[in-house]
Amino acid sequence: MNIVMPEQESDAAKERIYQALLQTTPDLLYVFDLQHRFIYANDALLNMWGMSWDEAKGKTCLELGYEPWHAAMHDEEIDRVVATRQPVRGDVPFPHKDKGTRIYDYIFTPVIGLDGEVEAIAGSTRDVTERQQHEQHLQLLINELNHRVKNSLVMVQSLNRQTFATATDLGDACEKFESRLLALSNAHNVLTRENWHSADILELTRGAAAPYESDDGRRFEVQGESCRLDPRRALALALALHELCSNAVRYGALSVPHGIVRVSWERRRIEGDDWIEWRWQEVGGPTVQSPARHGFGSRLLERGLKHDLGGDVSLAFDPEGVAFRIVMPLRADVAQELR
Amino acid sequence: MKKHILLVEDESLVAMLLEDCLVELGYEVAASASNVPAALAALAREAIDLAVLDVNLGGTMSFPIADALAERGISFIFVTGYGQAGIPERFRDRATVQKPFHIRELHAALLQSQVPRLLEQQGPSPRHP
Repeated sequence: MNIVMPEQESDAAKERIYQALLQTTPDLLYVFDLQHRFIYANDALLNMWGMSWDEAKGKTCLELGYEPWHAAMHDEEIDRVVATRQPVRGDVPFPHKDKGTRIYDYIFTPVIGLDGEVEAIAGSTRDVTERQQHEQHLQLLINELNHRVKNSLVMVQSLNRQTFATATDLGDACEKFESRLLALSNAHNVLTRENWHSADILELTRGAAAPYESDDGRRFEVQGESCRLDPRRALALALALHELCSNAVRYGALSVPHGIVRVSWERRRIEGDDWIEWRWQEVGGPTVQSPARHGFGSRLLERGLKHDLGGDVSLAFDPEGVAFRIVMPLRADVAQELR
Repeated sequence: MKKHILLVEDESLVAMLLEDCLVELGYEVAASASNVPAALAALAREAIDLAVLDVNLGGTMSFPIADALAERGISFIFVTGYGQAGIPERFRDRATVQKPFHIRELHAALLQSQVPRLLEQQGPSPRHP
């Protein structure tokens, strides 16, 4: 033994030290004899069983009420430790008296006598339930991350195809592609700040408008209160905003010095459900002409968003300015949240 | 005659991509749905030859649609960002395309799904004595 003590100290003092060590650890410590009977169990183990030492002393696992399969498994392991003189390690679920079923990681190790034979089997068991839950949670996170990466990649694939398949000018298409990619990335930033739970419609709108706002901040009139959107709707709205903004800059109200865009929204309660009506109205721009060809932007706005937002959308090329309107249901669990 | 496809995908950008690819491969998208009830309604309404299913529809799995299709004997493929592991045992023999995908992979999966499922039609294969 490695406990360093003055010569005159008694075995009793050593015993007190071992007792303190064995009884304070949260791990379950015990010893079996060669007949598989418990000849020692620390307080942690007795607590787990809900037994006194007098009740447990000299009994096998089966006699202590372990399930027959469980007792048989340990019988086989004890025999193996004796035969091979090597430790055995395993994990097993077991009902703790107070905490319910827990997962235990255990090691049985041989105690070698002076004659070189195994004279007892010492065991040490640790509750690893939380560690295992933590590992499972981590695995879930990794799977979810992988899914999100793949999903982002396929969205990029779609942007690529939508942008380049119909492009007539490569330089122009490249620029469009990059700005769409950045719009997607900016929406991700908003969502990441909120742990991918939801995003604020006000923040999304301001974020998407920011690159097109003038120094004096008069290009956009934004009116509406904070309101939470779930991630999918938030991404969809961010992409819509980007298409509306870039169209306004090229052909609409933002292509002339005095044109402005009014963005407003309000929440409504329809038959007990929360809905939001979101409007985009361009004012003071050149006379709008309906586009000869419906590109990715209009397709996304008219058809795609309807799909994503689960509501109703309308895009109008009114001569006085482009108008876009969405009426969509809010997911109750997200909408109720307060910041 | 063009085969009529039921497309089920919740992300509009991805749905647009799949639509374009399907049209390019010579199919007709007869119905496009983003959730289980809408897909089942489309299935009841339209004459569908083949279906393309995203696995995770905003947190809800598309497997009830797959079951309804299997019941009617309509072939389908999965398009997923989760990999094969996310698909239940009963659908493991169905063609699956991983996102992102090449149009050739989509084409191959669609063709594979239309090969008659011989084993199923003949019942379980005989066991050796």
